[in-house]
Amino acid sequence: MIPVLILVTIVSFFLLKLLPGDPAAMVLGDKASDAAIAAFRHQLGLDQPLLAQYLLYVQHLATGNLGTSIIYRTPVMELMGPRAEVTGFLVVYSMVLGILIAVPLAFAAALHRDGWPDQLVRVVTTIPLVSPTFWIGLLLLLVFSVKLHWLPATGFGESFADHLVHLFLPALTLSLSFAALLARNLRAAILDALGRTFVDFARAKGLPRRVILYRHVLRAALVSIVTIVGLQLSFAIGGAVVTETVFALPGLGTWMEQSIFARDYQVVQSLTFIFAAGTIVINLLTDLTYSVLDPRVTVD
Amino acid sequence: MAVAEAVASSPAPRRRRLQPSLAAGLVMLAVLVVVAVAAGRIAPYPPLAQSFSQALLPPSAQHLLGTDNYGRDVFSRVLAATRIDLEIGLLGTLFPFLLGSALGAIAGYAGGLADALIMRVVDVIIAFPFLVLVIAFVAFVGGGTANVVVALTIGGWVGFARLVRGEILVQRQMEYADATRLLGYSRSRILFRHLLPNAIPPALVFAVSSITLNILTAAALGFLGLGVSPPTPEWGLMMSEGETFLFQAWWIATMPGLACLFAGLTFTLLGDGASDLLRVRGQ
Repeated sequence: MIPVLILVTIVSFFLLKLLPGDPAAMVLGDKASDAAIAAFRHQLGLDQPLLAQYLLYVQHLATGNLGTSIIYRTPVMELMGPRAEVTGFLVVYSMVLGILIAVPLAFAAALHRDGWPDQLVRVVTTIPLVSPTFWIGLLLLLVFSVKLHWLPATGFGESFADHLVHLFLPALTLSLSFAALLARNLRAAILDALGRTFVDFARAKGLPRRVILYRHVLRAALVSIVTIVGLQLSFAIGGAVVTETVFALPGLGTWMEQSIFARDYQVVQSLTFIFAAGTIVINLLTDLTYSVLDPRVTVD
Repeated sequence: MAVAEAVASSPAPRRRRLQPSLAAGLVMLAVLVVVAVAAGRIAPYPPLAQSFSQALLPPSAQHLLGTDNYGRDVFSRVLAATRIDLEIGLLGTLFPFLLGSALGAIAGYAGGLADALIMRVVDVIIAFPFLVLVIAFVAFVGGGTANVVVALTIGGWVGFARLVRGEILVQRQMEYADATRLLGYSRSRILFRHLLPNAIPPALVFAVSSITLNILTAAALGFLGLGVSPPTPEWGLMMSEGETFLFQAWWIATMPGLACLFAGLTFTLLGDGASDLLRVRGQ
């Protein structure tokens, strides 16, 4: 984990070097005086050798200094808190919705293997996998906000209950492709579990069908849920960037988009790093969860 | 003799009936290709022709999918956008496939330092959410078709590298691989003429299905305003332009999405079909 994190800092460091031209001039614009640009270059440390610049960058990161937003004239770290809350809420909410959608679908498909519920689930789960997430968001917005007026179109809300209402459509948007993948994998995992001897044993004990399915089969299939959650969280974070802009949510994704167009490159660089670091932590947590769920797995 | 037999024993593909999903995928691909090549001749209007008296008209016989805020025919623009989206999807898959397969093959065959170096880079790229990496790259380097393809290549090659590396590790344990070594073939001949052809099919299947992902990613970049610049017709960009008019004219944003879905479904069906064929071959 640590070596990868160090390499990630190299990638995010060099992002700023990809700018065609002098970052200081790009940030300050055409009207800036040469003296202002020189002062800004010094402030960014751009007048130092590359290695020194990189070491300074890592030193800053290690002390929680993610640079300063040119637009807000405020440290990125300070601006990030409330926005990270929105994005975190959105991503976790979408995962929960995705599981709530996928589990019944997977059971319906697995228990009626090759029957019409199975076919229907197969068709329905294809759609979110082949269409753009933001397009699904626009459709949901059109139907549930514009036409039916059931749900708010934008914003985050004030209280927790408010968040749940305001983020329902964005979270649903983000959850669908995850739910589709999860339903397919879970279906296979359930079918696999149903064929195992522990299910025969549970039946022989005379356990009710419900208990067998939800206590034993689902538990065995849990590992596949964790796998898909772990794999998809990285995708969901990417998807959140686009979904947030559709619903004008004040999260990290919208901020990243705004910063790109405002040429607030420090923020874009920091956010890219934060997204990667978050993904690394999530992957580690996934591995840890495995070892809890399945004692045969060890984390090295 | 046994050695030569083992070398020649790469399994031949068996013929079988065309799967319905694969057949559907091929027909849809034909439609896409025809539209991409001949959009200018099929489209009822020029994609850039503005007509303010015709703005925001709903779908009708005159304008099959309605018109946008500049009075441009949405149907003609959806057709015209097919070429650019398909181009990004195909090139954005071809280059990662070539780069990833080559590096994966080298990592798997050479092992040691080369393997460690390549796989470390893979770990780093995988640490970034794909879309975030692509967005960040385009944000710093700039939009346009070429840069989007480069971004997709930087983010996408790792999947192919992992896949091919794993396959090469399996293939080099096979009997025919021992045989090629006994015959005294050079390392590059063993790798590129014998191991790689047997290791590449899973990567090919993966490539076909990742065309869908790359088309969707290209559309997402267009939607964020990071892809091609207006007024070029591109599905993602059209959806973002239509978002502003979602309340008055729902068709502007929804129709390009349907085209995107069609293209995505095409390559998913083809990918499924290809993976079925591969499974038959593997038996």
